[in-house]
Amino acid sequence: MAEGQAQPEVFTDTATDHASHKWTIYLRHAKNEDLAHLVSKVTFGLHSSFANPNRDVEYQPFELTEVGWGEFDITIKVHFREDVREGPVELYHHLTLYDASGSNNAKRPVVHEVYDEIVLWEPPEEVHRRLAAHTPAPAPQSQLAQFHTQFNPDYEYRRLQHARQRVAAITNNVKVQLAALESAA
Amino acid sequence: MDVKDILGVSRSASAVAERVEKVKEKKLVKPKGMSREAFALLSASHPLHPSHLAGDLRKEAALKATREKTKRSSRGRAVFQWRPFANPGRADGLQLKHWVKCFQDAAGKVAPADPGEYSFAKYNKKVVVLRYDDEEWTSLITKQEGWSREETDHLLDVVQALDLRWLVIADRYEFEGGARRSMEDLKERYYAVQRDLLVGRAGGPEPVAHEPLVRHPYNRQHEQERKKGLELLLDRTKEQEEAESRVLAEAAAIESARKEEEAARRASAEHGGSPGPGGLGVPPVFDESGKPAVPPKRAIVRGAFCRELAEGVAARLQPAKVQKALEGSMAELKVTEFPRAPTRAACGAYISLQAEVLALLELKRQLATNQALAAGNKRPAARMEGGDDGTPRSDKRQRVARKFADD
Repeated sequence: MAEGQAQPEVFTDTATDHASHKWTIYLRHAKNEDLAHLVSKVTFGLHSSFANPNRDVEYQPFELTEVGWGEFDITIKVHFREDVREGPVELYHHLTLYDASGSNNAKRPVVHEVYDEIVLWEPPEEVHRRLAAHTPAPAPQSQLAQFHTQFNPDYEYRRLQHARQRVAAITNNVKVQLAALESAA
Repeated sequence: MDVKDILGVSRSASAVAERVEKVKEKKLVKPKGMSREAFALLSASHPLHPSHLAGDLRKEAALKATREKTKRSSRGRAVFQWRPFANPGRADGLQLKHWVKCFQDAAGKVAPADPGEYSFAKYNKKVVVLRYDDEEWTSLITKQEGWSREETDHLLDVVQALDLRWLVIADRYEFEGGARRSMEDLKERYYAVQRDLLVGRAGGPEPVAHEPLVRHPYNRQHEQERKKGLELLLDRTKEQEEAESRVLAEAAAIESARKEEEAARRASAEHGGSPGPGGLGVPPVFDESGKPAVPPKRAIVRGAFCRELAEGVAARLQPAKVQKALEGSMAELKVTEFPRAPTRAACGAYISLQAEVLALLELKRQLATNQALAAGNKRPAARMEGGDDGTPRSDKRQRVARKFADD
């Protein structure tokens, strides 16, 4: 909505991993808004060595806590509400049990949150109307809210734009040199 | 143009002639039973044609061999005899006769080929109906309204006698002073009693959980509905059936028309045509040059999609040197990874940055070649001494790199 296009919704899929290897995988809104108006359920696809590896979570917060010893890729299937008339979307998350620094502090969990955006392009008209009239509500409180990461998309965008300006300047310089060389020849 | 063209001979005609010749030249087939060496003597030009006598001879020999084999069976000559047999499936001891295969040995004694039991006896299966005693009746069996002990006894007798053939049981069932029973009534009572006995004797439902009687308890309502549905389906007249299939065909046509409409709408949107409903027209993802593009699916994960796109561009670069150069340049710009928060703006900026860096690398390469060329034109002799303008090439490359960093 910030970009004024086909109702992009910003979700974040995230994982908190405890050093005791009791871990929680969860999917939340980046700004912790309620997702019930779009998402009907979330299926977490665990490693096949878990009993019933495909776990459905139908209520918010979309969290799943398990106990394990290994790191693996978790598939996160986001099912939309029926009126969206769209199949589920799949995200992938690599479960991280160990800090990059290698420290093993049982009091501080290893938090590995990944930000991504799910875009609905040209949704059915009634869904579009519903979303346009939608006022965001806060999501049900999660036990893990204290560990949530703050993402800063603007800062990254500014850094990239700065890099692009530098590249543009060098490109100009090289073009001038090329032109000079050609006129000399 | 060649001789044929000059002479005015059509190419296709000669080709056809060649093909005809090929067809005419028929290959001689080696008859079965003829040795390869002998067949080789018959060249294609030889007028001799092989006879098929050899094959016939062999067939005759084979037949003779099988005939002798049957004669020389170790058990003697096979004969058939009209013999009496006992059917264990019958309780009345009725004696019947049938033809049996026997062997007659050298002494003239005849013995049946299969001296065992009547061969169809294995199909004589009996239904096992669990019966209860007085104690079990009071402790295990769930009492059902309208079912006395006498009538339940009678039901089990009938079931046993008629081998669980429910249509016959429902037809014959009659109990003095009892109510009229439908097939569902009978089945429900019978299976309930059997299940009670099975579970009661095992001491609980767990040990017999795998038994079909326990796993699939009889569901009277479901059975009635199923039969009603079947009857409705079978009782339809031809007209009704035709009307129904007509409605279904119309529904399919409407569905396909709707799909086509949808496809057309999406195709027009892809060509940058009419914006979607409500004038929402800025595509949410990008193409390889960083221009906004329509996503391939209606629900898309933007970060993952754009990351894959950017990584795909980098991975396809040839030769590997260019890939390395791109990596190095991105690292110099302190952009080592895809944005952690891939918003639309960040994704677009990253993809554009990568495309721009690639363009710059290409330009630099061009500049370097042009410079080398220019230097070579000015002083062609200098190359022989190992440098174009006095500096070694590696120095020059370093200078370009430094300039990149300074800028």
